Amino acid sequence: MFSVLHIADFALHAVLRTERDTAHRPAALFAGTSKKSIVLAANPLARRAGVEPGMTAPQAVARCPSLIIRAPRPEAENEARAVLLAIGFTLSPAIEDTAPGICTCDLRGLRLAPEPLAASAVERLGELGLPATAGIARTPLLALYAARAASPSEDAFNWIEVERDLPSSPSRLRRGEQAMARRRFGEGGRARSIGGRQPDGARRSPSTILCPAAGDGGIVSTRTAGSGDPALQRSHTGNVGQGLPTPPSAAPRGIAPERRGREAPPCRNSTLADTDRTELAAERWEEASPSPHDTIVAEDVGLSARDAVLTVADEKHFLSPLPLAAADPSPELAAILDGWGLRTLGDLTALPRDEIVRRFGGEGLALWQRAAGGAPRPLRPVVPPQTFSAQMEFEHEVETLEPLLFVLRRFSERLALELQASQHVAAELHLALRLEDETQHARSFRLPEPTADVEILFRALHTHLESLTTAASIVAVALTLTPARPLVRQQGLFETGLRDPHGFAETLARVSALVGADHVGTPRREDTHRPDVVTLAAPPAVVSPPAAPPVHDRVGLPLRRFRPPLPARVEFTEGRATYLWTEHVRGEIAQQSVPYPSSGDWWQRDHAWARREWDIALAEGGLYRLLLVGDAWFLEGEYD
Amino acid sequence: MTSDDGTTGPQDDRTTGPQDYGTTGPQQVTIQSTDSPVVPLSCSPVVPTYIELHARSAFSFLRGASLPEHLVEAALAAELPAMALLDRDGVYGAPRFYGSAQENDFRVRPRVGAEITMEDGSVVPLLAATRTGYQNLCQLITETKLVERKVAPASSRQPDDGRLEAGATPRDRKRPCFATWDELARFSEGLIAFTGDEEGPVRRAWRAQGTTAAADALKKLTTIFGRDRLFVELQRQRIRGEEREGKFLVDLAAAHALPLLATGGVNYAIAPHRVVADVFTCLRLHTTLDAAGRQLELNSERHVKSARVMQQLFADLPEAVANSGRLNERLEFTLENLGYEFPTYPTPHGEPMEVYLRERTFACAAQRIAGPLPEKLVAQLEKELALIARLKFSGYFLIVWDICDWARQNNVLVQGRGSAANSAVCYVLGITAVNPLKHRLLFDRFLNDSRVGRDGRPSWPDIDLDFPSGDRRERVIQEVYRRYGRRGAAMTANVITYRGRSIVREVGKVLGFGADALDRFSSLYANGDFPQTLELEQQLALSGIAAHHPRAAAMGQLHHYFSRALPRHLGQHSGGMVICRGQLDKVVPLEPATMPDRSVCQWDKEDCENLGIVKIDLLGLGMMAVMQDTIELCRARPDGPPTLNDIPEDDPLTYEKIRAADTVGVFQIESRAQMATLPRFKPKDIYDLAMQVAIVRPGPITGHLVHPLIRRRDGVEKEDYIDPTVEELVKPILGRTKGVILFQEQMLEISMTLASFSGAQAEELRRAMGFTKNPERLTKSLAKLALALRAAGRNENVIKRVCESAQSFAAYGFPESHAIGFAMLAYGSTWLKLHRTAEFYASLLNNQPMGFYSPATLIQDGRRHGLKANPVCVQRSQWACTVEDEKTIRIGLRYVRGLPEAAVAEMCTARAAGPFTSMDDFLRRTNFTAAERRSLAAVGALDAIARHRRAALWQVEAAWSDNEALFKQFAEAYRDDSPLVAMSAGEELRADFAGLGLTAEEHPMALLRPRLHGVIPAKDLKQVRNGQRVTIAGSVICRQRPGTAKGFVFISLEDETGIANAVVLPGIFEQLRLTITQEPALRITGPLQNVSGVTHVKAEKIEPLREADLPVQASHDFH
Repeated sequence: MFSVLHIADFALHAVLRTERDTAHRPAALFAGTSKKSIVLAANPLARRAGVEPGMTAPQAVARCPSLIIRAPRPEAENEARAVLLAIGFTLSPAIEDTAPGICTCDLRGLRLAPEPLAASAVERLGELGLPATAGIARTPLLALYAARAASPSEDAFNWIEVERDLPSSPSRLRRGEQAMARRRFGEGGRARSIGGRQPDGARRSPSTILCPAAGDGGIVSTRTAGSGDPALQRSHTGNVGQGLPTPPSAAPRGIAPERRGREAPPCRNSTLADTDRTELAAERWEEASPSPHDTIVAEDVGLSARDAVLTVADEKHFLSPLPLAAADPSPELAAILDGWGLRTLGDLTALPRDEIVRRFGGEGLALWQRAAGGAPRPLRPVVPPQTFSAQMEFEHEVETLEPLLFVLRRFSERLALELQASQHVAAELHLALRLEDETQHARSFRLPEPTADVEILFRALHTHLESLTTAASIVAVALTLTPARPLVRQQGLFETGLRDPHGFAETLARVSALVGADHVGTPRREDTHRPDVVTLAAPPAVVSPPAAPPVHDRVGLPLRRFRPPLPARVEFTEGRATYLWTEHVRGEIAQQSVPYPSSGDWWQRDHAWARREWDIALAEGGLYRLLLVGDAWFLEGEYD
Repeated sequence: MTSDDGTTGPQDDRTTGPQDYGTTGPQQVTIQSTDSPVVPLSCSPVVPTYIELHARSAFSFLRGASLPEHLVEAALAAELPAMALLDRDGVYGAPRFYGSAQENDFRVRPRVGAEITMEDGSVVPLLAATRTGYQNLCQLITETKLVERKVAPASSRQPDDGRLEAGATPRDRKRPCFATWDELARFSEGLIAFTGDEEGPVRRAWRAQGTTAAADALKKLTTIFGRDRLFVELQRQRIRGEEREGKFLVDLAAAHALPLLATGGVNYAIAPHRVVADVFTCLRLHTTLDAAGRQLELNSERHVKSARVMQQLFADLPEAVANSGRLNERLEFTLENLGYEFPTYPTPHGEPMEVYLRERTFACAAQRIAGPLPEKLVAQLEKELALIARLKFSGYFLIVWDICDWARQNNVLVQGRGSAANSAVCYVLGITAVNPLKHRLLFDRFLNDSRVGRDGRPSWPDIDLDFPSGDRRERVIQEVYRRYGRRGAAMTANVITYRGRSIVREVGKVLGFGADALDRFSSLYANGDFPQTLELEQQLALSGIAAHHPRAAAMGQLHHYFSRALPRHLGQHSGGMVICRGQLDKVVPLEPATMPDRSVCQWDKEDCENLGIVKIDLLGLGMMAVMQDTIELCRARPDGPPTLNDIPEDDPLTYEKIRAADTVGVFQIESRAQMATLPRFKPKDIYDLAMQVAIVRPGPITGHLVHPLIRRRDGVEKEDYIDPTVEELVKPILGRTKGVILFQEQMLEISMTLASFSGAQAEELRRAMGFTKNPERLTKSLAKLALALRAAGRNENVIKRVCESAQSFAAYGFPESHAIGFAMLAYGSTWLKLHRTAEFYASLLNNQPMGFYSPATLIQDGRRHGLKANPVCVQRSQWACTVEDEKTIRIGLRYVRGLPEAAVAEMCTARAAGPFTSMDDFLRRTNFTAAERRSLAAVGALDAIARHRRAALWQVEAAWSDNEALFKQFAEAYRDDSPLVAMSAGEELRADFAGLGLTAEEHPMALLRPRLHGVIPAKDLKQVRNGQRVTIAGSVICRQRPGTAKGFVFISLEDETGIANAVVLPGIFEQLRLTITQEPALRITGPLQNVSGVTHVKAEKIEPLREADLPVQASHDFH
């Protein structure tokens, strides 16, 4: 068996999870690079408002004025990918990073029922801001289809519910009730099956399973981690794929009637593939008790702890109604098949395979096979990470602590998971903040006691940041953990035997916060005409080779700058400066140069500057630079 | 911080402090290098003459920041007696510079030159000293721009200091010259060169490689220009370190015995314009102000300076300043003596042109007028011919006649427009279609003795020729090139200026605003020429740039500067051509146009006109093409008509349909606004139609002329002739238009009658009204008109009303004859639509895109006129749409997207041997690619040989692929064993719109109708009583927000029964702006206004018609 953890609209959620308060607002991801920005993905709330992929920004905003507009961020996707893989490792050591938002786990050899594990993984992902679904099936591809089918997004599949009698069922769900359930959940894009089994068979309840619209059953879809009446275990499915065309509610279109339905055995005949396993799973889920209210909550945006895990039992009936796009045909092939009126995988597999091969060659064959569910294959295993780091550039500069802590919390959670998966603990934390003024704030904390505990890791960061004030807003953050094996660790030869190294690191952080990060570093001249503007930067790690000597040597008298410039008073006689007073220098002005006016940064209020400077010689000796800014005179420096 | 023009900006130039230069001190000092910072002060009591000889305008494109006019103003303010404009790689700004100087009575003598980019990336400033020099300059630029050359990679031209941009790539090679040194030598006669500024070869070499290299660079220039035509240029911008470079140049000049020349290196007229220069720098370097760093200017010193300031700046080198005056005295050339001559017409036997024109006129008249020539006509012809001969315009008339004659011989329809229609000579020569005697048009309005241009010479008459657009017009243009040579003819340029949306987009990018905010701004902006209804601040705020944004003030300031019509780039005029007797490239530099086989001159049509260069407009008119095609299709009919002239002139049914506004697809009167006026204006003859054409224009609408004219025609309102005091004078002029000033001629005649304007003054007013790029010109002309009216003793009411009329006419007013010409086309096209329906629609569909409506709408309109459009079919369709019978057309294969004409032609040839008998047969005998076969099947073109579209799709997919054509002869037979089900009606509709952009079937709304409750079909609206609340729904085919309508928006919705119109109030539009502009289908509810046969819904509720999921149709928006 394989399991797939799937995050629908992965790129969108990867971005949204880095921000607070985005979960309950309509949001859409826009192509950031093209001239005409279009919607790439939209969350369910946005879809409900009518936002569809492919719309332009004005069209989308026309339909949903409060739409949160985001552009894809590869860093955020990397971070989310790492989270997904870390969670994947909790299911199996053999996992594959199949595609963005898709992690395939090889569950073969697993002795436990996979559903509760998958449900737990989905729940953890939800907590980490990634609404996920999981599918369990015979092949990786089927599992992926199942995971997608379990997605509770708005583009729903028109499932119908079919009552399924189980042996010794004490009661039946009446058709009227099913219809009500269908109305209640189907309109929102989901239909749920109600059912479940008790291991002892004594408490078996009437149950329905989901099956495609053709009137066939075949899927066991189980709601997990719920609580409440064990007799009413809820399952649900959602759409398959995101932004895919809605599959037909009646018979699949485009297939001649005589071909249709031939391969659709009655739903009632379908059974759970692995009764024991399901029963075991049901036993475990029994501990949880779903309530009707849960479904209402789940109806809301995103996924909650009641994420769906879908196990595919009857493959044919599961596959048949899936939209064709689920099998990832090439755009050209998809267009052709759409022209043929094929909408579902069943539509395709209803056609003779040889005829498809004749028309589309190898590509057609591969698609047909994918539409039939594929075959088990060896995974390309992901090696657990050996380094533990996370970084992110903020889309908007961060000026307050909360958003930074929010992101660091996300980092800590993921890194802790990775540490745990690889049986490590963190010995040291390295935090780096890049500021808007191109400076960097970097700190390392050696933990008093190596740990993989999220709370401790996060607290260490929190303590430092609480006392930190930066000169400019933060544009990027990076966190790296130095891993160590737990329990046993030898002191470094030159490490001091500090009683509380963690406390010491914290103290240093506080000192740095007092002095200011921008007061440490090497001055570097900024690319501006404005004089004496430098930034302090960390010394470069690599010393670059010396540049070629300039064509014209810079010759001129060095200027010793007064920092800050000395306020001055200047006396004029017949419009010419004749006498200078400052706190330290005064005297008659014997000569003055022409003025050198300069100005810049005029485009931004508060940054604009304009100045004039003169070189002056005092009668008593000494060459100085005189400066006029607005109405104020200054002595800016003295020439050597 | 407020600058002298009321805006904020860098103001280092205006800070107070010590005098810029001391007033006491030794008389003669030398500026020391920066190494020794103390510079003794100097002063010279005598202010020598200074001429600014190195100034760039905004026509240097992304370099200079001020318009030429502003440079002249600054020169006047600085009391400079002359100034030279040296734009980069061209003389783009020279005519406007000259024109502005002329307006100021040449108090500033306008000198001409250019900065030429050399092959190594250095820039040599050149001044035209003589006419030969100017001609050489033009030829040098033309040579370098027109002749393909290999350009050294940008990196090799990049100076080491990185101050220049990366240089041209092949993509933008159109702009720089990249002249070789040999070319510079070849065209150097009459030109004077400077060593240039920091981009000049000498300083560039000095900076990058040192003194030896600089001396070598100077030697190259000395070899070409000698010591008498080369100056070592010195500029002082008050930048630390410049003294050192200056000292080197002084030494270099002394060592080579070359004169020094002080220049300002002017980039902008006044210091506050420096911000524009900074923005241009960023646009040029594709960067932002934040990232540009030291590539921006250090200060604002590159403005126009007075002689006194320059003398102080170069106090140590007075001869450098004085040399500018001496050099100026050597400059003989101005654009006044351009040396342009219109080509003469080579008469067949060498007879004088006057004689030949006379002979042709009477010969053609005999052909044009059946029977003996009326005396009145003969007299008129004699009168006109005499005047034409006196003004020496015979050659011009012959050349235009010759072009028309060539066109006709080559089966290209031609018709003159504009005031030429006032001329009987033009009429009989076949240049125009309007008989001026019949319509009582006055020749004097076209040509008279007093019509003189700005240069004092007789102003060229204006003859614009309309041709069928497309290939046929291009053939005429190429014929003109063939006759006058590649360098004897060129298209005129069209200066594209910065306007609302482009300003904010480009300036916003440079200011660092996010692309999303700028996108939002663009979405909010009105399209087309119409004014914006939102204030800039409001619009910026809606886009997310609030007024308190730290950069909003800069945006406002830059918007203010840029909206003064700063040029952005040079385009090509739609049809204006200039031709020249000698070589046109000696008059104005020529450049390659974007279109192949075309060249374009560096001046636009107003510039050409102002400099006395005659321009012939060879315009393309889609409707001419339609009418010519229709006539050709009608040849298959026994009842013709064989030519346009054979269309009956007063067909009552045609006028009836015009009055009923049944005018979709016809010329001029098909727009929404025209259709809303037709039922009220009720045109009965051609002159009525001419008024109708002329009145639904922004000018008359803003001038509130529409309603008075209609009311006076209906007798509801009394006729009013401006003011009782002038009624006697005005009535003869405005009698036909009931006292309303409707035509340009009326405006001019009134100015001559009431203000005693001379012909030249009236001509000046006419041009000012047509010159849209610079509103200041019209303002000045109107001021003159008001003065003249006052001087003539007219009261203030007269002055106000006349000036208001002139204002509203600007750019939009029609000449009467032009309106009549258009009315004839409108009438003719309506007649063809009614009486030759199938031929007309087929031609209309074959000439798309054109007009107001999409092909889909045209076909639906055709259906409503009983026309059946058969779908595309490989057995029957040609490339173009064809006529099958009087009421049936066949849609052509040209509408199948992605189908190449050549493959269709091949198929038609194969079909000529016999129809395709089966799919097998079709596939074997044609050469379509797999994608093309698929397209044909999807739109039903293969239905004749397949069971249905999907069966065809199934079959064609099994055919060989594109690279297996060899197999097709041996391929097995294709069985029609498709397991696919046929498309539903909805699917077919969708496939039609996807593959053809139209459908031959019913309108998509017909399928939706059963699901639409309470929605009234468009055709039923006329039966609904006025004021009743109704809901209409359909595909949006038109959204208009004319600037004349004070923010009102007009929407047209099409359903299966017709077109329903809605009016949206400004408030509702602002609320639902995005719904209105973005949704393809709408449902609109509100009270119906049903008055005088015009119906529209006053929209109160506007919703997207989402359930329709209608195919998106082309919509005609905001024009």
